[in-house]
Amino acid sequence: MLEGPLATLDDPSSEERRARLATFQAIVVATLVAGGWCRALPGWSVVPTSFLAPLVVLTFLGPLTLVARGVRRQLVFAGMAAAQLFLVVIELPETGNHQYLFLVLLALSALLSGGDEREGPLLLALSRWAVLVVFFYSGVQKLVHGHWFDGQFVANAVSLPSFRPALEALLSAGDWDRLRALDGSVGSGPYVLTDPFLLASSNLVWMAETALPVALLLPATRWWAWPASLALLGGIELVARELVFGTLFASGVLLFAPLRVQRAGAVLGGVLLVVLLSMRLGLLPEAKFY
Amino acid sequence: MSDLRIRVALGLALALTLWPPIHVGLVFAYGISSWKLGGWGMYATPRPTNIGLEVLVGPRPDGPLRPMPNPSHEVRARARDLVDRFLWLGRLASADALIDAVRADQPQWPYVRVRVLRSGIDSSDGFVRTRESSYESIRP
Repeated sequence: MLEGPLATLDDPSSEERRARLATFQAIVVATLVAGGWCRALPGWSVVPTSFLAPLVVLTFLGPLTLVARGVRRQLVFAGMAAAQLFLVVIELPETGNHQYLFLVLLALSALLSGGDEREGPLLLALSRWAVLVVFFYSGVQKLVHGHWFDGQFVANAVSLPSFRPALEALLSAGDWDRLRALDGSVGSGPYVLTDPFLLASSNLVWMAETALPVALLLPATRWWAWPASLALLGGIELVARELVFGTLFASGVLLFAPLRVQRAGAVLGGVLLVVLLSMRLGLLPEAKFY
Repeated sequence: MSDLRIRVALGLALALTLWPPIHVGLVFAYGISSWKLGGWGMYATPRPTNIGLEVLVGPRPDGPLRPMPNPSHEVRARARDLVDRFLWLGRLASADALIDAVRADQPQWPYVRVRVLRSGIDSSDGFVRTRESSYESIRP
């Protein structure tokens, strides 16, 4: 039924498609709810009601996506999409990009039934397409703005607490000392890297982010593109530690992996979310993540 | 009904696909941040941080202009709002609320200019530079 590039994004069997979609939707919903509470819990007393109210709605509706069937399930997703839209709007213009991706994925699940033989292929194809779009344009944006050619972004990130520990280990002593001495005032610089390996790595990031989505789109190259994409994502997350977005996006990349790998990945993602929530609740030692 | 839902879903996917190039255009044209608004440009540019704002008042655009003396609490609050919004929206951020507050606070000045100074790394050579944007309002 599907045509054009979308035709390559369906699964060969209905059973596999249904199982894949159910796994994906479950981990997306879990990441959305757990991520929301990871954000709300540390600042419980200062989180506005406008944030908590939709989060409570999402928390209530989330588990229902696991038990509801047919039209009711789509209605639950529609309710979640409405709550998520509210969250997106109230945070404008500071809304995190992952919130838009959550919204798109929820809206697609509300509009299309994964169990329907006509709509299911389209739901899987468009969910995969959304992942490819995000991945591809992440690379394109780095390319067009030019802050990765000479390592300008990485050099500047030395001043960011989230990046500093990893960069201290990665940068040469010369680059580290020079960049740490810069104060960011007007005229200071240059914020560039000189280490050839890191310069190559900086450029490899945008190249990989633009090339891997194309390789994921093509069935012939998909077998190596998904592990390569996960490796790239893992490398980025080691530095950036945006674990909620990382979990969401990894679950998107796993849409292209064999079903058993996707399921194993979803279990791992679930465990990670439990660990993150436990940290926020004080049940485990706190580690910094974003 | 199913056809309509399919069309809406396809439209959503199309919008998701077409928005990022428009977003890139807005970054270049209006200085919006690559980080926000769903263009998927997080980490494409250094996260914006340093923004300064100055309100100048005077009788005419060609001067003499002076920094607004003793701005009220309301003016300061609207200035902070503008800085917060400018950080992400660039020149798409409206200064109308701030200018209105300035006029309400000190109506004697026919001319108001709001200067926003944003510093950031120039991708061409890696040095920190400042870019200035101005909003103007003159009472007839």
